[in-house]
Amino acid sequence: MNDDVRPFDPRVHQAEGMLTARYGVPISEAAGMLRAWAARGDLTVPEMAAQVVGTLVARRGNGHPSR
Amino acid sequence: MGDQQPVSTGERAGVELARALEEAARGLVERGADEDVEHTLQLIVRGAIHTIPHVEQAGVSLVERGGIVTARAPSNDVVRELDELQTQLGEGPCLDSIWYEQRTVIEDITQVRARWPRWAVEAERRGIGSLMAFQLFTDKGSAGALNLYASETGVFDEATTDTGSLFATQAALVLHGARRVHGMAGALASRDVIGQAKGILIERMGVGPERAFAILVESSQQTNIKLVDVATWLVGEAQKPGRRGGHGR
Repeated sequence: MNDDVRPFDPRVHQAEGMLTARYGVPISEAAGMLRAWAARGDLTVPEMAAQVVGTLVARRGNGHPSR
Repeated sequence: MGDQQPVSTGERAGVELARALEEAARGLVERGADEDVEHTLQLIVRGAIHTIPHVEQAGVSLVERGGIVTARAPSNDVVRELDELQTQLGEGPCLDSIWYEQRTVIEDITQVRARWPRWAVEAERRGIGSLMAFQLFTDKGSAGALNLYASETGVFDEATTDTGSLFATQAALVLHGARRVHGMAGALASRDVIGQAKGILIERMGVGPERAFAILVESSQQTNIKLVDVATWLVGEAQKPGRRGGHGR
């Protein structure tokens, strides 16, 4: 899990888990998505992770259970 | 050069000792964390044979409560067999001394038949003449020792024993560092997977990070499974093909 250069930040791993649960991709692919989006948006990976977490929670509807 | 000159011999041994330990320490730093402990053990064993006079074979024994002796990084099969025999026979230098003595020196294996009647005979049969054992660590019910063997008897004199003791002390420090690094790498990996599991629960159950963590803790307590194992299981399940694509895009 700690096999690449991802900076340690709890939000990064949380975002990886959320992307995996939402889009059904492996953790490694979720980590790659975060890195790619961060690079495209000129953000750090933790910053992008924070945005992803916020976006996914908002899409779910103010934190109410999605299921 | 052929004369007996204890000082120059000692100095040379000291330089070789320092080099061996430097190599072991450098190896620890240069290698990845996953292989550190095993690689460090191999460096220690190799360094002991090259550094300590008269030592022909060596190994590190791990002793667990219940008397199970495991050979780690043995230099040959005889060393491995001698450790396995201690488990089978319930006697031997590791079992006897690892918990209570910093060092054990047997100058003549034939003189310890009263102490270890079956193990001593088996060691002698395998060509062991003398041995030294040094405690490396004791930790939560397990202990480790560096065992050094020679085919001749009477070769482990006071100077050799002191060199062995010095080597073992330094080796214990290097090994402690390796075990620490390994433990820290494991802890970091645990934090990663727990964070990922939290993310999965947040997404699937619509809860916040604190509640997600509480769910993991509750599951761990109810199933009596370690928190990190619960998290690893959850992350593994979420990645299975049948579980994917719960929300689509």
